[in-house]
Amino acid sequence: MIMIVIAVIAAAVGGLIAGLKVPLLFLPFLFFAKEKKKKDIFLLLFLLYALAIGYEFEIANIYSTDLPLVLCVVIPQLLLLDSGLKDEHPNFAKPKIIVISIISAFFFGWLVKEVFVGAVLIALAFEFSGENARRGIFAAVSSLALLIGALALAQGMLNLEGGAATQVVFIAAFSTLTALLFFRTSVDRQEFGAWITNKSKKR
Amino acid sequence: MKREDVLLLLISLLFVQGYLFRNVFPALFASLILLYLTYLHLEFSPAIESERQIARKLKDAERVKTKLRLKNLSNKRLTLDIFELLPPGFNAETPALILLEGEEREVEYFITPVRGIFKLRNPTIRATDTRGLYYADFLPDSESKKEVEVYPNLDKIREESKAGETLQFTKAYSALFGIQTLELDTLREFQPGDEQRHIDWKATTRLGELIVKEFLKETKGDVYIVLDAGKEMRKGIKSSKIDFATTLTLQLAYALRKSRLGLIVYDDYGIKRIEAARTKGSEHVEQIARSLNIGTIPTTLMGLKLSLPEKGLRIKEESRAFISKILPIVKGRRSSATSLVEAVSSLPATAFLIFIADITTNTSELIKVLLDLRKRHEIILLSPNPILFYDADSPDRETLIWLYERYKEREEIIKKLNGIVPTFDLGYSDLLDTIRGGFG
Repeated sequence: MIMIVIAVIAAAVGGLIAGLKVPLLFLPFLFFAKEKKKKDIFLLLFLLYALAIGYEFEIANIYSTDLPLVLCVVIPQLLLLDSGLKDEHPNFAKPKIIVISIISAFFFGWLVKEVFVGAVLIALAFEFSGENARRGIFAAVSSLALLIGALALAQGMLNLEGGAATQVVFIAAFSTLTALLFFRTSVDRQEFGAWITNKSKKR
Repeated sequence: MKREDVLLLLISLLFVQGYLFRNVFPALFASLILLYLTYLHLEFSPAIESERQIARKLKDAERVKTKLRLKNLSNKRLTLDIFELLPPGFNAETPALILLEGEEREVEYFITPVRGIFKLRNPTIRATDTRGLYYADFLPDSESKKEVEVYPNLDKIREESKAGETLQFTKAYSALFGIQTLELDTLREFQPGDEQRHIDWKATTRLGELIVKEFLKETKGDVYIVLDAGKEMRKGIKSSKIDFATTLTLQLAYALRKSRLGLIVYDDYGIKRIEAARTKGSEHVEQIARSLNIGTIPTTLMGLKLSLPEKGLRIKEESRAFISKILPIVKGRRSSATSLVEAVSSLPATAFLIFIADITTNTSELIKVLLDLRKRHEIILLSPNPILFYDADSPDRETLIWLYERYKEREEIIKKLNGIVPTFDLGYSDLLDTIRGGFG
């Protein structure tokens, strides 16, 4: 349960740094859903939470935005989503000293955004550590690098006054196409709402 | 809808939101979630190795422990759910566990089988990722089948034999032991099952323990116990059916001491003893007890219609038939069927008859006699079931299959006889107290 606590604190502090109220409103419910081990409810709440935060936090132009502030808001959401979905194994209890250091860094980061971003990234690395991921990390990092590269290359075309819609379309199109490259393998997907229908147990 | 679809829906909504509200943040957020999904999708490649261990010989309806050795061959932690694909009638637990990367573990859980010989497949194992978004089913291959033999459970057979008899016996019981009157017979200690309203509170206060009143019961007419003491009844390993039958007869005699009770004992040679239903009371019961001095024939065979499969000695069918006809004459005895006819011919015109007999030898003659007698008499038939008297500790496969076949054959006979007169299959524990206990 410690990772969800870290994620909730990170999301709350990140939200406060950016002056957002939505995280404070939603985070208790998300935490409660995770505590009760209701993954589907957590997903549903996260969907609403993401839409609400997307409505509240605004970036008009990606090229002229305060990047540390954006990272302060966006990275904790990923940490929150992952820790909410992941089943923590009791054997993987995180060392207390690291946990305390990270949480302390969050509060210190309230004053210095870069420290907060660094602490959240460490927490993220901590969350994904021990997964022995190779292909996934490669795909995620290369996709991100390609997106950043593409945004840099297309800056002349996209960096316009009131060009947010164009930037959104560009990001959406590029991300989707990149993801499609890796989504070719077929995997059985877990049923949503199994807690209502108990479908996942049926053969 | 799948869980992944919820996230894909969120991604789409965030892109749309970003476009409609001229806001880049939702698009960046959606991209990040898409990257996350890509990561999870690519990283999910579980591999499981499993092997089941289960005993070859099982007992019907008895929970048996099965061991499943599982090995996680992937480099990811996996949540495993085990689903058994078992033949109809089987029940199994569905254990779940978490297996770390490269971990090997043995899981133990229980299966409840049903009778027969089956080929059990390995269970299906569902491996789910730790985020609960994806899963993979590992189906057993056709070569993984293991044969198991599920033998009849003697305890269950005993229970099944008793089930269904209750209602019939209740009817017969009231006829046999009569209708309770208001006339006080005796006082005795309270026993579990006694009715609360029969407690004698005065006597209870005086003696300091719970005392109940027992009332006299009225029965209609004379009661005759017709006891088969033929060879089949006297066969036994440790105890024979005749031991049980004589104990039961005595108990019945005592319970019916208020009625005029008669006893007819017959064997393969004819009527052995006869006690006419002239008097009542304990003295008469003692007289009956003296008549019940019948010995056991020590043997390894049980009183069943068919003998155990012979391996060594082979005799032609014609020779066997000839020997079976000639042997009783050589030994100076007749068939038990003839003795039975002789025994019933000594009965009065009307009476309540309790037959204690072996039903697998001379069944057709027994049926004929019962069909004839039921026109004039009220009858119940009590038959000690040889299977319920089987007391070997570890019967082998052949014996169990043979026992089961005999059991089924006997069931058919019981069904047939039940159509004529109420018939009860009795085991060694079905003495009168046990039987009566069921009606308290």
